[in-house]
Amino acid sequence: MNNTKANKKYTALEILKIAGVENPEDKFGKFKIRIAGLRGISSPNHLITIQPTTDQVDILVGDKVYSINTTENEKTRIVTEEVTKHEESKAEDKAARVEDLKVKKAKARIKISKKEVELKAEKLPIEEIEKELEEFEREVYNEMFR
Amino acid sequence: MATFVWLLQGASPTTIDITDIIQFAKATFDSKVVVGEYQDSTHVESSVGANDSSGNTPNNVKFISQTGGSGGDSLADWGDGTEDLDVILQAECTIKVTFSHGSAVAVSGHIFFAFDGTTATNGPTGVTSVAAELGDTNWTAAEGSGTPLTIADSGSATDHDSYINISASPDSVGVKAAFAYRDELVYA
Repeated sequence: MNNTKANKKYTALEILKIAGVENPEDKFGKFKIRIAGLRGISSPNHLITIQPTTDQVDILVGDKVYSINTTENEKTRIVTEEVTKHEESKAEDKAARVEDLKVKKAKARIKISKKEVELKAEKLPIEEIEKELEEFEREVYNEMFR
Repeated sequence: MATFVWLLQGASPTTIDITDIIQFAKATFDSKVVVGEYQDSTHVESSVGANDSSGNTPNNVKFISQTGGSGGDSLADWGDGTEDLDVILQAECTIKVTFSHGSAVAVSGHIFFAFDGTTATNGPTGVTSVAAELGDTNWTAAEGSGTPLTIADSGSATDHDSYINISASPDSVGVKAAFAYRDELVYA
């Protein structure tokens, strides 16, 4: 897609390459691909005309969106890559936080269970056990999730 | 609203209205093409027989051979001598068809073919007709909707330009009136 913006045909593979899609050859037939509003693209040889009035071509591969500015193609590709990296990194951070939370909750449950066993071993009245457990649980959660 | 505009390209374009005739002729307007040969000029004729493209130096792209070019490419002559069909430039193509829509749409399933003017599945009567899109390596015997010229899908835009070359040869003597062109597409 050059700066002359001529009425030109490109293969779907060429467009994915210009957009900076990684391993574009592997995407056909495996991911949902949409180029400039054209749906159901499953062949790398699918010919697509980009009209001279078109300034931006949006591409969807799976759930990732890429964009090509037909006049500032290189600049846009870099911007798109940065946006994609940022989104991927945000997703990774979130996944890590969720995993960390799961581990902490499991540890807290173990501590509380152990305390319950200790209190029951002391044969204290049930009301007292419940009260102490409640306080202990609050302490544990404050300590682990503050 | 969706609209089609057909232009015969040339030094200046000539609009081909719905009632107009695309005339294939020998060297000049109204001159007859020899049976078995292809046209040497293309014109727009009004419904009352006037030469609408007179003064516009209309383009003409003539079929020369189906596979005689380099690597099996078709050959054509658009005024510079015989050349491989796929080296023709946008401005040298015979017709420009513009499909427009009020909002941006993507175009797919785009086909172009000659037919008898009545039934899309029938080829033209008494004529051998070929067509090619800009960039095609070979002519397509686009006669009837069953064997059309397939035009590349076009990404989202309000105006979709297609550049098409057409050439025809009479199979017998006489005016060929059961001969028309049709363009079909799907937009979304």
